[in-house]
Amino acid sequence: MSAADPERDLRGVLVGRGHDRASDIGLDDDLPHGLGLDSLASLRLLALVEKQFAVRFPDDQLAHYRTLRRIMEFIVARREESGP
Amino acid sequence: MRIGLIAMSGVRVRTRELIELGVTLPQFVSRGQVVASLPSLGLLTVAGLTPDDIDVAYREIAEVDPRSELELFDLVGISSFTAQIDEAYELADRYREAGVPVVLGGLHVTLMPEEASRHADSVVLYGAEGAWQRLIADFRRGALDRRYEGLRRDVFEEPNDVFPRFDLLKGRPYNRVTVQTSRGCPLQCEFCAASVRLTSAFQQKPVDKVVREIEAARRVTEQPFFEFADDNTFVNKKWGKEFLRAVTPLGIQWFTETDVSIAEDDELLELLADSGCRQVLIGLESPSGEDLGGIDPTGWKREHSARYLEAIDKIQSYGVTVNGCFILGLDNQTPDVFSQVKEFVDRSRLIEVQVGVLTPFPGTPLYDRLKREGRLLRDVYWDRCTLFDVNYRPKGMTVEQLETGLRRLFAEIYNEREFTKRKRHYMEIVKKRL
Repeated sequence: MSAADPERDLRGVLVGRGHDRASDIGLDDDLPHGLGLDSLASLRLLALVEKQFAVRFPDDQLAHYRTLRRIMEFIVARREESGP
Repeated sequence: MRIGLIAMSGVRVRTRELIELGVTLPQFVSRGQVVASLPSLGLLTVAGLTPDDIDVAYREIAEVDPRSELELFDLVGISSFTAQIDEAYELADRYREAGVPVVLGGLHVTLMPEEASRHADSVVLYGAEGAWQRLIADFRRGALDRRYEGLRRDVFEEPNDVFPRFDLLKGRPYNRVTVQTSRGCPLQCEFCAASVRLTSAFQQKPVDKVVREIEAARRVTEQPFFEFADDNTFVNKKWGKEFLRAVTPLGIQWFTETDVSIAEDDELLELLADSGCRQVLIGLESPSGEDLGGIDPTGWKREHSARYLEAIDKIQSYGVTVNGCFILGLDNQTPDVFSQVKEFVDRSRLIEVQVGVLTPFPGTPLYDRLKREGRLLRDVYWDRCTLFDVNYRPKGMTVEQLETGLRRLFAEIYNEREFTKRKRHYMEIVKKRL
């Protein structure tokens, strides 16, 4: 994820995996609802984010990451923690 | 003429304690809600068999308030599962009192035709194919018979095949739609009360017909998740591969029921993963092969049980989750089975688990045997055919041990810690496949 535009990077990854509606979904919109994801598909989306951005969501908080903003903030925070 | 087709197929849980447990058990609740919210493919098929000049209205139980005024039709067809059959009979009686002729059909009616006939002007046994057309013709000339028997074989062959009326689902909020690719199952398990009781032989639909039905269903529902309403989809691996190759370009996501033999075919598993299959439900029944003796005539499940762990691991490694189903209260099981199931679930790392009590559905070989052996707790218990109520005396434990063990196992399997473990395991599998 580039430091310049993390939102664009995240949307790009999701669209690249067939989540076409990720290009215009609101930052605070509910992703499973907005992208039409059931519970397994929601987990697949989080797995995709983990793999693409080399992060790992806390196991007991997976349900927390339901919006682009929360996912994005988590990735940015992890990047900042691990340093340049 | 206007015909009303009414589906009464909600999932029931009678026991208060289980309901309370269920409230906090997302996996159990979600599967129950999924089943309850599926459209009735049987009645959509009946609608497809109805001549074009007849207006067909499709209704579901949630839309039929038993206390409200009846929506009147010239003829009513009602289909229900065993657990809700008493309510179906009640509704049928109300319609008949209002002067509307009633036809009852479906699995329970097929297995208990005499009982159903007391609440209907006519009953349809087995599939509707081959029966409904005659019934309509007779009704039109005022000569409805008391009983019609549909075809038990060749239902997918011309001229018997029928296209379900998926258009009747338009505007309804379904996120799952059912399509059938086969009817019956060669395993013939003693307890099975599914489509195997409607057929005289396992039947598979030609692939091109399945594809046309999927395309038709997609035209009326937005991005539906497909649930193939089969008992065992991949009996014939050659057909299975042809089917998967045809489904892959459609870009759908789907679920079906099958058996562990799919794990023996790498090519099929690869095609399965590529085709959008997200989950297969497999009746494992019990972790120990010893417990499975006698449940199917050829001993197939017992023979294959030794490879359960390996098979689950292999199927799930392709990104296809396994919903492993267990039956508690089989004759060879003892109270040890509850901890054995928990241990198996842990070792197998099943992504989803379903646990239920052995249920002697009327008309099954299991029901006949337990009745013969004097082990049924009551003669009529249809509203207790929920898969969570005990209706017979188990052989290797007491009724109380079975009920208590079920509740304990529920609490051990369905809790946040276990759900979290399963979710993480699934995500790690997905990451490996990306």
